Amino acid sequence: MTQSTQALDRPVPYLDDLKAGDQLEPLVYEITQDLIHRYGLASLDLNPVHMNPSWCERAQVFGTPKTVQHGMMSMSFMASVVLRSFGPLANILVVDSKFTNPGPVGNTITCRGKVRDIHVLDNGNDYAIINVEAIDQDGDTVGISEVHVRLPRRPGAGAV
Amino acid sequence: MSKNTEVFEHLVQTERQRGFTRDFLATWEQCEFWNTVEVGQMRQNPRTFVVEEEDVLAYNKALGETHPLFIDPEYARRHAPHGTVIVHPVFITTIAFWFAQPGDGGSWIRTPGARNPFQHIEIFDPIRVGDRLTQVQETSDRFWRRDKAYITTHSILTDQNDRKKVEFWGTLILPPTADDVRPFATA
Repeated sequence: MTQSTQALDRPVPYLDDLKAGDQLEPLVYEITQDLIHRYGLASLDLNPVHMNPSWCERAQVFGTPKTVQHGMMSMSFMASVVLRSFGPLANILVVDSKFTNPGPVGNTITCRGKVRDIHVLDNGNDYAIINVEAIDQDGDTVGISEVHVRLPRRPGAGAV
Repeated sequence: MSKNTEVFEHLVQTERQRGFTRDFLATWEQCEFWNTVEVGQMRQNPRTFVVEEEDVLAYNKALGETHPLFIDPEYARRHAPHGTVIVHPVFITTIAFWFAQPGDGGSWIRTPGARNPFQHIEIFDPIRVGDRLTQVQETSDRFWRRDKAYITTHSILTDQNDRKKVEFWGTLILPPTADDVRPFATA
């Protein structure tokens, strides 16, 4: 997995510093069985479609003999795109995800985020919506997410 | 230890993982099914999920998070707003599966052969280490779309101060009956 540069004391950005179309730093994940096992145990989603390679060869739930990554792992990765760019203290309000293709073990998944729009409410609940897409090594979309993140206004920033 | 779980048992590391009903194949008949589950009945789960630091660390590390606020408790004690490692927003997955063990409402999320089409999470107050969470849950919808059987769980998590923390809707595509699940469960 790629490691983004994370300044430890980097503050959460101001909403006023974002604009629609801004791209977030992408994250790349190699989907190994060890990663799937560790995520399965951490999330308690121990469904054999993720966790049991020999069962998957027999059951082929997704038409593949391989295990597939958890949809919730994809959802987590897509939320992490926002957390890596805006910092761990970014106040995520909503994560809405759709999973469009299975992600078999061995895939390489790239998650890319882009600012969709800015919501200036001037009541302390200002937020941005980030669209995130998870794409495999063949360019096929595995999942898409909409992440709402509350961000502070720059001091002195006026109403829009 | 069954053959279904033996490939990952060596990675079990937390008390919650040890105490969890880990074999989804051995327990499938004790779970709810799409065609017989009661829809629209909000129920309080009698148990309480205490957010333990080791569970949060396991989740954050599994995702490859590297920021010390996610993975270094000592750093978090000095620098995090509440002095604890930060809980990833999708950690609610762990909470949802823990509350949906055989015999619990929503246990159909363990179904062998299930597929995950879409999920929606709304966070009202971030979950923190030490929170004592209770859950009300309902199977809120069940429908056919393009010849597939969809089902949705709706859950609300509340903390020890009676504050609503998270509300989420989780949808799966399921084999609709026990007879449809059996070939997967016994494969």
